Amino acid sequence: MLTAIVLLPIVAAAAVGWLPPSLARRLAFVTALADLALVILAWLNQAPLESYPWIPSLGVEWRLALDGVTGMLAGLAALLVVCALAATTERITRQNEYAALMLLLLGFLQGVFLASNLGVFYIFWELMILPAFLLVGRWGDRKAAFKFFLYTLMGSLAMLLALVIILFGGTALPDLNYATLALHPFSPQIEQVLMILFLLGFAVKIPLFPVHGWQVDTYETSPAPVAAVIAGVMSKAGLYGLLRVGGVFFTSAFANAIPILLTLALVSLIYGSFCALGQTRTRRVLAYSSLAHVAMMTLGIFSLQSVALEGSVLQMLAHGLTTGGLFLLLGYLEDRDLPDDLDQLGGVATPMPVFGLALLLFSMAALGLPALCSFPGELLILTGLYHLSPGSAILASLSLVAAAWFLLRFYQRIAAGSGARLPRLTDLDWREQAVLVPLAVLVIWVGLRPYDWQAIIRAAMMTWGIQ
Amino acid sequence: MAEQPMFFLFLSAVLFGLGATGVAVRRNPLVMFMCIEMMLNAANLALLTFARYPIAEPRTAGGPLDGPVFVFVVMFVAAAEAVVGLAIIITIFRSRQNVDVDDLSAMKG
Amino acid sequence: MFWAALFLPLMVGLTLLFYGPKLGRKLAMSLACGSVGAGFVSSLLTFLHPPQSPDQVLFVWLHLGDAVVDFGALIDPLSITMLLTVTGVGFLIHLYSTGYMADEPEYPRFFGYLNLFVAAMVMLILANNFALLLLGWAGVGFASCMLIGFYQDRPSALMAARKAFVINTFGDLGLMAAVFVLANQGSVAFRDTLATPSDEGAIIVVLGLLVAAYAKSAQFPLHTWLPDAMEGPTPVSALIHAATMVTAGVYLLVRCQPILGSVPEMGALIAAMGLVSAALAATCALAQTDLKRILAYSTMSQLGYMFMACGVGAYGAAIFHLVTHAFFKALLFLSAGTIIHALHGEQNIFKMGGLARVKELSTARWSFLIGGAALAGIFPLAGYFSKEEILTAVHHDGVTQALFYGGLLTSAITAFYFGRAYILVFWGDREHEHPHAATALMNGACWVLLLLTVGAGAALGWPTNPTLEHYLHAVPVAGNLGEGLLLMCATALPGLGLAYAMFKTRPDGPAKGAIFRWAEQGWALDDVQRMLVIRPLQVLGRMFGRNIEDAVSHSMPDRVGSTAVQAGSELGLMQNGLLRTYALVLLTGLMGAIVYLLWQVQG
Repeated sequence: MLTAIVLLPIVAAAAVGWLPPSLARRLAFVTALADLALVILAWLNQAPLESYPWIPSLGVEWRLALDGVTGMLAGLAALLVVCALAATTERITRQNEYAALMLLLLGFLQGVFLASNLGVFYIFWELMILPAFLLVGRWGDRKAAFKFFLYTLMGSLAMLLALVIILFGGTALPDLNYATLALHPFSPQIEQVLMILFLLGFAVKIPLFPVHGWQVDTYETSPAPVAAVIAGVMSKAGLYGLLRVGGVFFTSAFANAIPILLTLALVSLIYGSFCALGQTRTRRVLAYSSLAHVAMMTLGIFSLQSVALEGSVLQMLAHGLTTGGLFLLLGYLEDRDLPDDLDQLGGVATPMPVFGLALLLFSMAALGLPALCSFPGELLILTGLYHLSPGSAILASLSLVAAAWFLLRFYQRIAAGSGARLPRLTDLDWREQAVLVPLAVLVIWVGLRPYDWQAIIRAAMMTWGIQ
Repeated sequence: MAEQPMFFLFLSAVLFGLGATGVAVRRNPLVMFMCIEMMLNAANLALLTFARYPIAEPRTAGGPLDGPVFVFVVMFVAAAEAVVGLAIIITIFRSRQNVDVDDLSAMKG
Repeated sequence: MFWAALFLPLMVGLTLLFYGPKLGRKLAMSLACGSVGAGFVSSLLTFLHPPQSPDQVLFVWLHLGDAVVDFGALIDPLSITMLLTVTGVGFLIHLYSTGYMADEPEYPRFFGYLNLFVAAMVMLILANNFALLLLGWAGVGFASCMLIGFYQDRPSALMAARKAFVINTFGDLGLMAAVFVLANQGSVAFRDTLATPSDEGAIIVVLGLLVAAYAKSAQFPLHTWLPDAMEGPTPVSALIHAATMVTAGVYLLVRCQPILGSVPEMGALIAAMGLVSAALAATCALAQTDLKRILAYSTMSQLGYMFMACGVGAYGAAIFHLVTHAFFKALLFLSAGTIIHALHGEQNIFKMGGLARVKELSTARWSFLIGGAALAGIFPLAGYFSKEEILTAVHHDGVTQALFYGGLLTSAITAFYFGRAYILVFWGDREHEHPHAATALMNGACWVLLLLTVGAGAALGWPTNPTLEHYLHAVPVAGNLGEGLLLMCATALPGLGLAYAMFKTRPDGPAKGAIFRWAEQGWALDDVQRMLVIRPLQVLGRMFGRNIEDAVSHSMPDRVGSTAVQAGSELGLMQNGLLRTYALVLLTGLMGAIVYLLWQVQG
């Protein structure tokens, strides 16, 4: 079952690539939907761990496991790809290739999330770059795609080096399964080196200052559905990796470096917030606000407080929903040939009231309005952080004021105002609305009843060995 | 005649040097090709010499036919090479009416 | 029961936002009013039959580490009092709005957010722990922001909305800080934290609560959003920026009195800051020309009194003044709204005048007069009793009498600026063409509030029989009717008399002096805030967003890339495409290798 979750999109992608474009997108949509259904089924049935030998000489075993956290992230990935495919319009050319690449990306993401073996994790981690690179490069901007590729490749190489050290660096591990890694602590020196290498790999993908250079260009130039998936799920892969690999296996090295790590994340947080304050383009505001948000989650992971870790995971879900939703909404504006300059927009909510409400919902959720999805996570992260370092918690919470400023400004400049200069607009049609419904429902559900989700996260993290 | 293998080896070295110089200085690919053949045959001569006059204690396992076998391999390879090489040269000549190798600098960096 | 007061307005608010235009005007407005009315009825029933246990939990909301956050309500006299006030006044203002917003095409949006506001306010009052309180706390800030920015085509309204939201979010951080401290101590529920306040970290909790309360209640120095918030429709100003939301800060301090009590040295600070806000706002109100801004500053000033009361420990008096203020300030705003509505949006008091002769505005005139008299503290109106109680409490506190005299002076100024406003608006002989008549519902809402303003003070807080304080189990302030009347004669009457003397000739424009201009600008605190906070942040934002970001993400990585490309193209020149060069290099290399090997063998 778990294997099917990973392989279904990959196999389907091969078929989709050869189909005529209109059929291809539909089949891809159905496949992603089936993948989502599989994730939910597997989660409901508590699908057992699956393990087959793969590359025994390197300790790589095809080993997949689904628990609360990985299931949640896999579900988020499938959901966002479903929404992205549903929101894709005819403006995207060569839809068969596009849909196939989206499915590939989905399959590889599922591999990253479900892997229970570091080798499998790494293989999918590397593979993930390829479809993303092609999607950004072919339908977005070549330069942005190369930048993305080079940055992430740099991170991956650091991880590869770390893997080589684990395999051949004198540590006699029978295999690379997570369970084995958790049982065999490394010597302090090796652990420190490994932590730095993995940190570099994850920091690029999350991204953290100063290796975030690919992020803004990628988010700005790629098609909105692609940006929604990359910003919504792929950055979560980095955070998940940091939590799962870094936070569980290299705990003592992390604990030793907490002041440095917290500083790193705080700088990223403040940097992102300040950058977002000064932006005038819609996508760039979102990109920098994302930079700040993921820095907040990183802060939670670095603090190594169980409260904050729970908050970080909850926030991953929340951020996936809000960023995904916001990028899709911006895509709708682009479909209507509206400019992307905040100074030229305005008054969109008057002819498009449903769009206005949706934009309000998602941007308020993103800025952490209580009763919507981001607030519980932020509260958890900051409470945990406060326990460790009150000063950083206060400093980090100030970023919420900045977020309130730039996201409200973002909303007002697009939706409110007179809008006299805009062309005639039609409101969202049923398809465009339907795409947003599941995201909106989750945004409100997570906000109103966060404990439903926190309990799941907590149970999963217990099994990882985080108390 | 203890000096005898030295003459063969010397001849082989001279042939090899001539061939190498030819490859380096000539611009006609056919001539360069002949020079390469000359280098190969110089090597063959050396191989046969060592097969005929083995060094006192052979360090590695092997029989007296090792050298001639090698020579045959080289001759086959040279024949195959000539087939491919001449075909390339003829194709180039057909398309450009000229086979001066200095003009074939498409790979210039 | 009481949950109806939360969920009915919430559901109706969301329905109106999403389906409002399809419902039709009548149905939408009746739903909006009906849900809040039902909320009031349910509050009333809760008042009559309070539940057995004050803690009513629906479900577990979150686990903040060891601290369990319930989605639950705390039903005690304080929350019931607040609930009745909020839903009652809210219901009246909803009724009033049906008339005031009758010509507004976007009425579903207005009523939708108004209902969401009521729901958030009820959440704030009901919450039985700090985290849930934060939910309502930020919720009212959001609804308020959307209502301030209701007139979307006015850039100033959008700007005011954003300012209110950001300052309120800053206040939310204060409450969040309190949550951090308390959650790490094991509980954020009121029943634990208030029953046994811990001394550890108490100072941070108190400071956090104060920041939150100051931002929400528009107290110095976080008050600058309130005057600008008058950009919203007038019923919004009445509901949010006078009667309910801005009083949340007072509610918070009263609710957390055990925690405040654990840091006794803060009391004097709170009281002094209260006086600063009260006096500052009163002087600003003196100089305003916009009717609504006068009322806004007066609200801030009255809230200052409530904070003074909290500072000296007279929590009962603070809540009493909160309730009476809700009545008379809502009345003032509603009558001001009727006047502005009648004059087609004119808000400048110097362009009014002569309105006493307009028959359509007689209800508004009486409402404004009675509401203002209550504000000035004239016996036997509601404001008299509550304000005298606060002043008496400050007098008895005995820390310093400066607070008391400052309070008296502010009270005189209050009477003066009300007199000024009343004379400028109603006296004179200016003619007004086609005033817009108020609907029966608008006038009806005013009459109900007028009755409350007249009667509530005596009923709830007669000095010898302070009903409300008994109900709240607060320590009553030993007041004395004679002393109170004496104070009134010493403050309110001279204030009104001075106003009469100065404005009876009704000047045509505001005074020109520099100080006057300065006061009109709110003592330029807005500019100070802009220079000290906004500008530096904007500059930093631009610096980060353009210069540093450009270096870190563009020019530096680009330089690495271009260096590599450059190096590649330079090294590529070695490939000159000449076969013989390659052959020569190859042979040279081979030769070198052979020589090296031979040399190795020899050596």
